[in-house]
Amino acid sequence: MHLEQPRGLIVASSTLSMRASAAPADRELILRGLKRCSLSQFSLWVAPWAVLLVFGLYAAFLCLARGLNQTNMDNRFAFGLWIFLDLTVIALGAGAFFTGFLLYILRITELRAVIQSAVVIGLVCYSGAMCALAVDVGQPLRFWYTFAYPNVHSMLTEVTFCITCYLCVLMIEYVPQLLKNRKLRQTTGALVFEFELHKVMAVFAGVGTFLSFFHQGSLGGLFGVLRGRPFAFRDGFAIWPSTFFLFVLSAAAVGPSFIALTSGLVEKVTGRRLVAARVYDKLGSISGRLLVFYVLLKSIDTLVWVNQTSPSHGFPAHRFYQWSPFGTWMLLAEIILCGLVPALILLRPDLRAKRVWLMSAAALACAGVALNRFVLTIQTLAVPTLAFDEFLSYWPSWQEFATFGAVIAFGVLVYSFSFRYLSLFPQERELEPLTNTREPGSHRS
Amino acid sequence: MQGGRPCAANAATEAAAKAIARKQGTLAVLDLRPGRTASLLYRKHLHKLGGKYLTITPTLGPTLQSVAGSAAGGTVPAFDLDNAGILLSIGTPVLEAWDAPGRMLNLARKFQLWHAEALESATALAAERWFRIRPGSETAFAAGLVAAIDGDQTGMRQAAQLTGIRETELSSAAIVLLRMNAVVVADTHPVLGPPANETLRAVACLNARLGAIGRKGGIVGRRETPLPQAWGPLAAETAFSAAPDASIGFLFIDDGTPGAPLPWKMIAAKLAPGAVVVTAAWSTNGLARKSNYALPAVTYLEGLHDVPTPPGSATARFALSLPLVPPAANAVEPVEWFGSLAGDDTKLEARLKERAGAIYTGKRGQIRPAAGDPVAPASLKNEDEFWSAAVAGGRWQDDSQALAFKASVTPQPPLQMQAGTSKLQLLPVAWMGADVSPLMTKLWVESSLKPRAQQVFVHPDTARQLSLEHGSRARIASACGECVAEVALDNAVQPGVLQMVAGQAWFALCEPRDGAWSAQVRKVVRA
Amino acid sequence: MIAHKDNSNNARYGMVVDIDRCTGCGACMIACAVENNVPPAAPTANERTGITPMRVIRYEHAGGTAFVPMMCQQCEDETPCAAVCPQNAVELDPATGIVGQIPQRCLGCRYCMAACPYHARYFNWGDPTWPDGLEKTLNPSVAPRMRGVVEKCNFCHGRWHEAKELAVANGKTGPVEYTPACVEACPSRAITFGDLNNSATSVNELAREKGSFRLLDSIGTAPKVYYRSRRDWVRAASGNASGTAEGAHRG
Repeated sequence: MHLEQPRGLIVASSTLSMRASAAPADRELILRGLKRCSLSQFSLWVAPWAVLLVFGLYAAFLCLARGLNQTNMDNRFAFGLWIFLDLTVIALGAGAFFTGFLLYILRITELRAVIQSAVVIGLVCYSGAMCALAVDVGQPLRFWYTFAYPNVHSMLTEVTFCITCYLCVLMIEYVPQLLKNRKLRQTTGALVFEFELHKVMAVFAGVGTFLSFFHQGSLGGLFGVLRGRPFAFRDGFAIWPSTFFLFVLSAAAVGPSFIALTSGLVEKVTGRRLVAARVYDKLGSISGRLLVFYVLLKSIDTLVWVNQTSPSHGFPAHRFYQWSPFGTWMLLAEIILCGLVPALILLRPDLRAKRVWLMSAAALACAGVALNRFVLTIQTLAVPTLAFDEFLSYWPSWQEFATFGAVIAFGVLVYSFSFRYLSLFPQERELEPLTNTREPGSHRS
Repeated sequence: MQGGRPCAANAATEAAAKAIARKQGTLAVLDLRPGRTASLLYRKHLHKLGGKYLTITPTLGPTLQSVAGSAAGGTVPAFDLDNAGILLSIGTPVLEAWDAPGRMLNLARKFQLWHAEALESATALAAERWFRIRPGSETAFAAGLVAAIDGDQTGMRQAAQLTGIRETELSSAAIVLLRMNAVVVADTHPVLGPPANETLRAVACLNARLGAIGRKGGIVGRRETPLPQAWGPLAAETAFSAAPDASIGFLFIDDGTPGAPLPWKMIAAKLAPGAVVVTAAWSTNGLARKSNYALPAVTYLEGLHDVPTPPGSATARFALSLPLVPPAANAVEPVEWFGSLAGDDTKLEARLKERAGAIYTGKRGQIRPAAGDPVAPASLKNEDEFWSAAVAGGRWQDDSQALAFKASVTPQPPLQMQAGTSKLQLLPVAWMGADVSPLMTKLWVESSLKPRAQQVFVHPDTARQLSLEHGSRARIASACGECVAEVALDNAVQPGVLQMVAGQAWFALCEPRDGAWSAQVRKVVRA
Repeated sequence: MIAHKDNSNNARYGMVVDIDRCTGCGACMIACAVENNVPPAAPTANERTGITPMRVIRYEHAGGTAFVPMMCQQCEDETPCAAVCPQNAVELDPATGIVGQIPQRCLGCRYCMAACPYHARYFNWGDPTWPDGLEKTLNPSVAPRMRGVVEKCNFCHGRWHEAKELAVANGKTGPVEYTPACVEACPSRAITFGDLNNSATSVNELAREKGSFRLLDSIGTAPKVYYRSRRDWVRAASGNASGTAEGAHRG
């Protein structure tokens, strides 16, 4: 099945797509059977991201060297842009673990087409989040204290343990892909290692899935346990507040959407077909079904919170929404516009077969999960608790934005290099067979 | 050499000697903390040098000074707060900086504190009853109460209009005041300045109407703390405002709380051309900044000083404030420095000891040690033992003995009740202490407990009328100057009122009127 | 709620703050900073990034203005900050009932600050600095905090240590009596401090009296700081944020 590419994308496509004139050393690194753009085009694509990364690293250096007075966070807004970023990228990065779960545990084999890409996305999301966290904490050199002197009652301990472990798993999962590199394959040891690694990969996928389910939940639990913040506090099951389960579910629901969205984006940028339409359909339908379930549970949770949890702590819930600009529209946008609407689109096979609908719905779902994380981090801190508190707002400093930008740039760069030199989409060879008849420059693919 | 930087004592001495030798204009000392033993020593030296002893706030305080007519020698008027039923304060910071705050906070449990002030000050908030009068209507408030006592309906109506306090409230308050053994005070605010003369006249009249003068629990006669005979005659106390303009050739200022009470332009008006001003202070942030010579002074807890009898005490007192830390290397005791100009090199400590000796010889009162029972001076062996008891923290207090006291008060109220001419009123807010320690940032930088110097506080409604927003900048022009300040909205400010910290910005806008400091707002625009 | 929790020899230090007596002078804030080696404001500090373990809040209401001294409320049940700290840098000491903050163990993640409903925790956004000469005034019994860690009121733990050492030297065991710096500095004696477990203390008596209340009692954190007021609208403020925009100017 051939997809029509709009002509306007040719400029963009020319950057990453194949060119016969790659430099010799660079060409040797590109896998056989795949075509990639010229090294100069690739450099052009990479350069602005590299600049953003360097600029962001400078900002991060300022924060580490001079202290967090470089940010606009304060004693009330103790969490800011970075924590929102961390929560969001980790939720979106959940595509990696959930795809692994679907593929290795539930044996939905179609997803083999995107698993490699998902692993790279997971890796960049998690490592990016960890880097941002290292700048965000006041004493980053004391990170190991959490392992040495853990407070087992803290959700953050759970998060730290699980994320660290899962990052290791992601790295292990990334290694076989690295080993597929042409140069590395020339080493016998690497081949043996890859072979051995393959045998245990399902174990890692299983461990990764467990860890990931758990830390997604713990991240939700972070705010759900805050007894002192009735806006975020939720009753729950055993030691876990309801946000624990909602975070797992929302991450699982949005994960496939994000994989579909990124795969589509990579296809557009490179101008190559990488994933078969049936895989998109599968991702969309999984995401849609989970999203419906999530919206249902989220609505029930909200109703319970409005009618029971919050009033029982002396806080009529409607009062939280009296502080402009955080009105009830936020709640409606989160549940209806970015929850129910994409879910309904994704549930209809005819709609999700159309790329525009599928991508829009996936984007809405991702926006919904970002909004949910925003509400829990920022709105929780902004709304007053005491009668003599004020409603406060906060706008990040350039150092915070730049560090944020560096995390994004880091992700794009790792992904770009991985895409160029590794095989992230196994279906690419089928969908885009190498032919010598194609003229350079007309990369309609 | 110019002010703003601390100078060496001998440089100041040299300049002072030259200025005195020139004999152009008067020699004067401006004492911003009258009532101490050092104040008496200034007067002793000035008598010798032929200079003037000037004060902004009279030693007795404005209210008592205004009734201190025919007191017998050695007897001065005093508030008998131990026996008062109600203390009605008109704009006096009774719980903040009048008398000793700690003493007042405890005493205020015995009498009821009623307070009339336009500002929501700490005293206003803690008072049993707070009359939130319109800015500038202090006179009208006191006159209104007089009218209520006299049954003068016209006066009451007029007062009600000016103060914003209803006529019924005025008359009911007057009834309670009459019945409850009340006394009225309107004294200088250490930051905001003295009350208007008109207000003092109205308050004196009100005190007379209430029968507070000469009555137990009102204004009674008090014997003064004994003075050594050998000190001889003292220069008379003169109000600073009474000194003729451009008359002072050499001025020495003993600055108590730098940066606080008066604008430099008020001092500049009294100086003769080429006059030399030496200011002794512990910070260059106040008058020292503008003076020719800034003399670093030994301050509280650095030197041995005495504590003046507080205005609210009906008995004379004598207590010492002991040094806890060594003074800075170049710091001098202001009165010792001035004494050297008069050829008197006696140390302040020796003078304090002389005074303690005089008290011992007087055989009056009791000395209350920090711990233990009071001791009568007669039971002590000699002066030295008395001095040792004082240095150990003992406080001497005269026998309580209400003395006959006849005041000079004209009974009929020659009161003019005037409305402010401008629609917007500018009120200064007192905020002392920014100089004291860098840790004061806790109050005005790291929290919003205290206002910042360049901020103007307005009610949201007033701000809307003036098209000002929270955080915007306003250019405020008065009859004599203008300033730019950051706007802060505050529901606690009365509508139609601009409030700002009494600092440089306020000083630029205000001018003396009838003994008090006030500003007539001409225009407020967004800068 | 104020009575003995157990029969052991433990103290439960608590405070009663009479809001009606507070004039908002700020002496407690300065005394606290001096006692606990809190540095003066950094050049970039403001009311939201400054460090004021004791902070007097001006509360404006239609009924008038009240000053509310706010410090760590030393929550006893479900202590929000202690529960969330990932590395045990916050601990509720059973011997004193004081919620301790251990800066040397703090990662600076600020999760405890997000957890505290009283906003009584402060982060060291930059390096602490003292103007030349002022370092001589540092209190040798309290360690200054480094950049990147959270701090808060600990009921002048340095003073408790001194009192305890003195008691032990005199052969005494059990709870000791001491006075935190803010209590000592308050000119209007608005703050009473003592052992809530000891029925003879005035703090115990005052906490039981009519008109005493705790802030945000409804969320179940059981603070050991009580407030008192005769004014109805002040007592009403013990609940939650009113949620209306009035009074949103100036804090």
